[in-house]
Amino acid sequence: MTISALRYWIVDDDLGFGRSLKRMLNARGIPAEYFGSAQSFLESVPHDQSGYAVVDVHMPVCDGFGLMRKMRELRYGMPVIVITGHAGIEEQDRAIEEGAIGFLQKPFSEGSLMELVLKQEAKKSRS
Amino acid sequence: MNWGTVIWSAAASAGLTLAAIHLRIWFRKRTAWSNLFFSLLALATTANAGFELWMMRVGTVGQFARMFRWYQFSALGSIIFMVLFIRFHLRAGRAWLAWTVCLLRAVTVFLVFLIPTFNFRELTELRTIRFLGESVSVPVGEINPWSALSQVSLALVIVFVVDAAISTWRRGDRRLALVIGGSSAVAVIAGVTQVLLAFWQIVPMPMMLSLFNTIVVMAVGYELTREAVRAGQLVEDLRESETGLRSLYEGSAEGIFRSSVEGKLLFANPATAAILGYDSPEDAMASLVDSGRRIWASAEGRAEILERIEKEGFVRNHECRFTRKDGTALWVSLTIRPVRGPDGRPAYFYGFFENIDERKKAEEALETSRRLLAEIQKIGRTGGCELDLRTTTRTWTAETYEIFGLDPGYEPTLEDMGRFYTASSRAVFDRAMRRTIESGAPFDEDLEIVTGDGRLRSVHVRGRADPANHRIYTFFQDITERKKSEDEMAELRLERTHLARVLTVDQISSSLAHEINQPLGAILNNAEAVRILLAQGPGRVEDLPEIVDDIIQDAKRAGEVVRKVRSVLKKSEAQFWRLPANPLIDEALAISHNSLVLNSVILKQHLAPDLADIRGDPIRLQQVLLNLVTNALDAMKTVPAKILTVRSAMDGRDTVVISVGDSGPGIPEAQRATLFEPFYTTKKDGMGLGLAICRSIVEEHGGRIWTGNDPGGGAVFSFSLPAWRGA
Repeated sequence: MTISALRYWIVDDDLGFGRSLKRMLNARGIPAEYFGSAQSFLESVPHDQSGYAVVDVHMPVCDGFGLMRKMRELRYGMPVIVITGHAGIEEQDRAIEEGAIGFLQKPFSEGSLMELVLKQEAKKSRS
Repeated sequence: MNWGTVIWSAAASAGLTLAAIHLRIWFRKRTAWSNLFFSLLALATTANAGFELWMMRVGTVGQFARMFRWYQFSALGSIIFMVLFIRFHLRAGRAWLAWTVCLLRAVTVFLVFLIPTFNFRELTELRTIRFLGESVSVPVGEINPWSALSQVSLALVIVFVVDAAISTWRRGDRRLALVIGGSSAVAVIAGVTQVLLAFWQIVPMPMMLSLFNTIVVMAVGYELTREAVRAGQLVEDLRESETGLRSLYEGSAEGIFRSSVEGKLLFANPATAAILGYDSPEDAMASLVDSGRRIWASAEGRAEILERIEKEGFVRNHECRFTRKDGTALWVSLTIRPVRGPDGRPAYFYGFFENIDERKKAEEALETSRRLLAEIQKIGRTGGCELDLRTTTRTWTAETYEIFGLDPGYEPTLEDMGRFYTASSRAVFDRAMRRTIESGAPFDEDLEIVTGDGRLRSVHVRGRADPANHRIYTFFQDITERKKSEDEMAELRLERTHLARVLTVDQISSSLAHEINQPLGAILNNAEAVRILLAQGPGRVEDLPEIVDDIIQDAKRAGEVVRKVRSVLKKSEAQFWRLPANPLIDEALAISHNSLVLNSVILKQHLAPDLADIRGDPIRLQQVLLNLVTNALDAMKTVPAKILTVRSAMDGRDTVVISVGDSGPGIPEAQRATLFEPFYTTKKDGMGLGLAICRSIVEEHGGRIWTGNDPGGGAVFSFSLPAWRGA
């Protein structure tokens, strides 16, 4: 499986950011879907879907960590990459603790996202 | 004079003497019935002897017959009293037999008087015979067969006496059976035989009943006299032991007494009177007629004693309260034992008591002070311990166990003196202890312990050595709660001031970053997308306008965020007051106190005492000071010797200069110019706004802020403020 075949599930309450990330990935030919809330993601994406979830920390109602817990409860298999506009080291620690495979601070380059994904894929094929 | 006269007279007088003696004994002791009956028996014997002697001397038959009839009376008396005496003295003999004898004999005597011919049908003459060298008269006549009736009664006497003697012997009282029972039996048998021989004129001789009676009287007299002698000896012994006892109870320090069941004091020794406050034992006995009410401090006290005597038989060393003559109460230890009457009920009480009032009061005082101490320790959460340096004996007060979280039964070891302290507290404690032992200097420290049950607690420990007694006394006070609330207070204050003022800068910058990073991120993504699309050739160009629109939108959004933040910051207008500068510094340092202590920073203050008041907004100036202190602490993170120097001074007449110096690495010359620019930072997680805000606040006050390096190393930040010149 090549990287471009992987699907990205973007969950961010910030429409401008979410839409731009989806647009950039789509321009690369990578399938990506955008959801404005944790609720709409959970309702639309079944748990056995493959791909990567890109989840923003700061969202109203259910934040990124809350979504990750729910995904665990509902047995979602996809790895999660946490993104945030904040600059706290604590959030990064917490994201890793909660099981995220990576943490990116906005703004981030396309390259840093791809790097995380490649690392994860390499790990997967090794094991 | 001849033997007959002598013998009968002697018998008579012996009987009379013994009768008198025993009658007197009976008069003294009315229950001594055997003495009374013996006395009457002896009297009857005397009468017998008199009549017999008289009968020997009569000249005519008529005289003899009259005398013989009266003789029957004394004979009756001797028989009845002997029976009664034996019955009472030997406590033996059949009652029915006794009654039969007495009744039969009485009937015959009655008949003798009623029928003159009852004994002799006809008395024909008096014969004169020689008896014991004397001429005596004996009757000659025809015997009435009915007189056999009186002889039957005599036979029954023999049966009664022998029977009584045998049962006494069988009972084990052999001596009594032999001396009294035996002699009585022999005398009665011999007497009856002799009287019958004389009466039936088988052998011509006078009646000698009295002589045989005398044998009994003498034997009994001997026996009773022996008892009297023995009693005398007993009395002597008793008197001797009583003398000994008297000196004992008179000299005794304990009160010894005898009382009636109702509580009347029947006997008291001098100590009883002395302890109870009476003038003499007599005074006590006269006053305590119903000691049950007068002597007991409470009615329950007496009831309890009586109940215990009832249940346990006696009471030993019972501690109770007596009332003294003057009405005061005192503690005594009472031992009391009843003496029971024949019915098994207590007849009276013997007892002794000891005055334990002082001991009891000392005990009570000790107990009161112990309870007080324990209670106060409990309330104050304070404990104490004593260490004997020579024996290493350790004594802990009750609350100490509580503070150290140990069971009250725990045995403290020498190691326990320091074992419970945390490592850093242990070092302080050991040092203080060593100093105390060496120099006797007392110590006073706030330390932390981990209790036996694993809780972390703060204790205030004070110690003092007593070199003269080789002891160290340590005082503990659990100040965990106080410390906690102090810490909470400090934290609260920190939150209200430091956090509210200084950290809001961080919060503002943090949320500012977030709000700006969102549009920036979007712009970056969109720009990336445009680049990719452009690289793919002209086929995807139709998407570009939309993307560019989004870029413009996000850029505007970022600009909006910055504008909004600025307006929020501007909302709080500075409020200028007339302020003394030094208290401002003190307050800022007080807020920073915890951080300084936590980082082991040595604080040096050089505050000029004669500063002019300044014109300023206290909250904003606090922000400046706290920011500078925080920066100084950050700068000293990696250096071992952390020294914070705070100065205040006048610069000319119109300017106050405040400076904060650290012992960190200092500021390179090149950075000085940009230091106060916004977003300039040397910190990993800083936004670089702190000094920029400081500068804007200082300039708002009409002052300047600058930096320089201290010649001794480290950076110095200074700012000037204009002095107050009127509103």
